[in-house]
Amino acid sequence: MSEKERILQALCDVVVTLDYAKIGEVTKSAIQAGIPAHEAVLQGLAKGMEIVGEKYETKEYFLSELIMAAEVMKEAMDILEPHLKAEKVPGAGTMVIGTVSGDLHDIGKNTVIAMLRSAGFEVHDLGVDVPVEVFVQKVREIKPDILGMSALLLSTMPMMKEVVAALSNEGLRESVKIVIGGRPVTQEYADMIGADAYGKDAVEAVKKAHNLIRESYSKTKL
Amino acid sequence: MHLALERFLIAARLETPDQVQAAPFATGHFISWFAGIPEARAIEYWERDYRRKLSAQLTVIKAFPDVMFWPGVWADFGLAPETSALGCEIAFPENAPPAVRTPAVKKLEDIDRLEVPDPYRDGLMPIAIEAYEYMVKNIPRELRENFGYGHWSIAMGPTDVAGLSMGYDKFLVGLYKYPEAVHKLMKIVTETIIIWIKTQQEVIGSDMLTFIGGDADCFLNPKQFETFSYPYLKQVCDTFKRKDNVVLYHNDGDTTHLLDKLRDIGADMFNYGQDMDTALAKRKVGDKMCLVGGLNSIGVLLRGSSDDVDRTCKKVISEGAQGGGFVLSQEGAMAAHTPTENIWAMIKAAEKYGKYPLKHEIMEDLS
Repeated sequence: MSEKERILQALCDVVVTLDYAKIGEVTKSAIQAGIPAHEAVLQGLAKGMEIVGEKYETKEYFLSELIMAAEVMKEAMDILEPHLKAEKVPGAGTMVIGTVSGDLHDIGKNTVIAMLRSAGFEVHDLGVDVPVEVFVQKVREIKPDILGMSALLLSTMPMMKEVVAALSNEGLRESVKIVIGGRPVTQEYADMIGADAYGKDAVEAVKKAHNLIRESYSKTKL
Repeated sequence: MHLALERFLIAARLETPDQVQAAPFATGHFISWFAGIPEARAIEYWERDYRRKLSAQLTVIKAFPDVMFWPGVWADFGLAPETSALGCEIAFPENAPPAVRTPAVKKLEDIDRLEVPDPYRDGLMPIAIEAYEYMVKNIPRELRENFGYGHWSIAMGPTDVAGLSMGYDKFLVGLYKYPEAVHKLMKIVTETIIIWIKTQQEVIGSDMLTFIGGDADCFLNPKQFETFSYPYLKQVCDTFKRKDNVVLYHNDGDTTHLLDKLRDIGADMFNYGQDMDTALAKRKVGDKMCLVGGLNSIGVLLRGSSDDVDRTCKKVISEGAQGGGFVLSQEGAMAAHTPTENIWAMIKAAEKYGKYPLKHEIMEDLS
């Protein structure tokens, strides 16, 4: 195993083992070894996050591990960020995300954000209790690839439909993909309101976001 | 023939009543809608007008005579009393229950400044106390005696109150990075919960039924649960567990990974979570806690047909009710728009399949 491979593997390992005490040291060693920051992310940290996601899906890991892995990843990204900017490597995509109006729950949304950022997305977090018009305004302003909406309550879930309708009324619906999630949300509901995807948990939401970007990219190429 | 409350209490002792009791779990989400309050204006139920709240709760109770809803009659301010008393900023959205907008603990040092609240002074606790005083005075006596209404004291569990007071992501990261600070917070939160339940018991004049909501425990892995939640949860349960009363632990998440430890928290009843395996829960904790649940409140009770409800009830009664210690309910509070016929299907299924001794065909389903 080369020095580069060893460091990339170490980056992956510290994410999987949630070893926040070591992440700074290992990340700096990657920079010192001349490993491009985007490779440190894609071939080290992101691989670790993928394994964490798999462990979550098989119930070996739980929400606390998912959040902590994202925290470890964030510490590494803080160190790598200036180098990534200098390398001018395009990100995975841009996403605007928020919890719908009336709903103040953020644990699901925050987990998705952490996973998305770990996967290279530029994420604009609108917070909780986000009014319909703010979703519309931010889509117009930021022009994201994807809009994400979260709701924990059945009583607030209908606000997702209102956002989709408002985007259509404003002529913005075709410009953005929509992914939704949250406890009462289902694939049937996503189909019913005309969302493009539904994620049953944070891990699936990130996979779906990647798929949506890939699909858009293929269509553009065609 | 036993009355509804008797069946509930017999099951809580892990004994066998004449039949499985169907006891729908109803909170403001369902109650306000059923009472005709527009969903976009649900705040009319959740806000401080406890006269209107009691009236809405009694509307549901009277529409289903002989059915025991739980908690039935209560102050119902969501998660707000404990968190507001600890200093969290609470929002009252128009279309949803009150919830924490800004946590009390913004930085670790804030934990050192936290104090155990005075329920007669801090946050929404005083208004909840007023609500309980009014409700207990105004519940028809037969409803209180036969259905346990006005006998419930209710609090969120230590992990939920701590998580909301700090913000869940900071709290979960804190388990790894700042374990001592988290323990300090858990101690304050546990004392808060205990004093809050004691106060409610004084006000309602009863310690018969205690509800502890521990949804956030399912976020933890087994080791974290054992270290950071179990000692505090047990302290709460042990404080209120007596020979002739009931402590119910509610968690509508998936706690399959915690069952080996949950069995020892000291609760009498376990309202278990969405889509958990009733047979497995019965095997793991059924000798220690009465299972309360079995029906998915959204997937089955709200979105299913009455046949779906009947089929599910038959299955979970076969898996959970043998030997007693089972109450048919939902794995989470009922949603607005839950069809009345589905609630009746649940009640009828308890009569049809839940009479003891359980019929041979029910037991065959289990094999």
